[in-house]
Amino acid sequence: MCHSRSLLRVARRLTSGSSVAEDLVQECLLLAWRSFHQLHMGTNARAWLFRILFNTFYAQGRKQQRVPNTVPLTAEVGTVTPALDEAMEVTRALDALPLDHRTVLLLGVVEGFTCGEIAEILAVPVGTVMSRLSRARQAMRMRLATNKSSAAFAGKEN
Amino acid sequence: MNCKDVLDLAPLYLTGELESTRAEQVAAHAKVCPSCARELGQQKTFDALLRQSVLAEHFDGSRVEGEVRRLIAQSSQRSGSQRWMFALAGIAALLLLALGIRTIFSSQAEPVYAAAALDHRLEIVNRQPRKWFTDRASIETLAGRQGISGSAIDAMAPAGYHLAQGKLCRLDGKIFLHLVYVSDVYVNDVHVNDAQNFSVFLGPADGAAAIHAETQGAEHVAGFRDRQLSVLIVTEQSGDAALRLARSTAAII
Repeated sequence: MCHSRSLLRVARRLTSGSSVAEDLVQECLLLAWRSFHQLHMGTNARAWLFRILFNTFYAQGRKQQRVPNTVPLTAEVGTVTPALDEAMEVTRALDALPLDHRTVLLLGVVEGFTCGEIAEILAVPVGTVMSRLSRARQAMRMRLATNKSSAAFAGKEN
Repeated sequence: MNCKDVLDLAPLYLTGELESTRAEQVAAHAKVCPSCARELGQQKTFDALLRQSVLAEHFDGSRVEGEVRRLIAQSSQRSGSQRWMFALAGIAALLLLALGIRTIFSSQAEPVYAAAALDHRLEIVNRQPRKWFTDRASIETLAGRQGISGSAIDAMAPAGYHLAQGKLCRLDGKIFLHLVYVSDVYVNDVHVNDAQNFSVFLGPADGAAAIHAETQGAEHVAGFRDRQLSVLIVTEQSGDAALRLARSTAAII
């Protein structure tokens, strides 16, 4: 069931809580079911689902948008491993980005969509996607560069 | 092409969307410009860490999927038997979408594609210890035993890539020559097999090669078979990049 997990993963980073994210994905899947007849042969079904997800999210007026820095810890603070610590630091930096930047990083880097597919999902020109990706990468790297545990972002490659 | 052009094109270059001539120009520039090579490398490192960090969080979609199925069934029950049929078709459609079909009506997954993707994940990404040959002579000897010439090894290197290592491996019960080509930014795997003893689907053995591509997790695999060789290319760039690499390799060999 990898599409619903992918949808949830992205929805969780767009919205303010897991129940809001689940509601968003549920609405998306129901809309996909109702619109299934519009899906033509050769259509990228995964990109189509994400387009519905974002249309639903925007239609809700971004009311449930994530408030930065509210990521729940997935482990007790005392038992956080260095790798998990770094992962949490990275996701916190991601959540602190403006929505447009967060969105292109999630779709392009995490979910593996091409710039062309992202442009189609978000209904923006490819050039806009490219510039948002560059600026988002730069912003996150600058944010993380100050932390020693993310040396790779600071320009010190492993 | 100057440094600004390279940085402007980096997003397309990193996703493998840049058309081959311009991708070669970017790779050529990165070869002579340490600053751009470092920047592209850092972007790739950043992407890998970001992906790894976000994917580390587990999401269970079963509750949402169950609720959606329940709502669909409920709305259909209220509307009589015709709507039931429609609902069943809808649920089937939903399952198709949810089960990870990237392009509707695409071919079924081939075991050899899954095996090639898993090999890449274990041996290249996770760097599990394997006995690799890195010298050209040993790799050519291995290739020769599989009926693959040294010129075919060169032909399979995409522009901007060079052969880094090779070994024999078994994919879906068949022996393949596993070659690893690297550029300043990417690592691509190529699995080659003498087509004469290879029967699973990769494309027609006669005439021009037909390319079959699949996405297996984070790996994109594109394969084809010509009169002499069966070739599987594995990359993490994108499905389009895998197809493009397979097309250019098929055109050369």
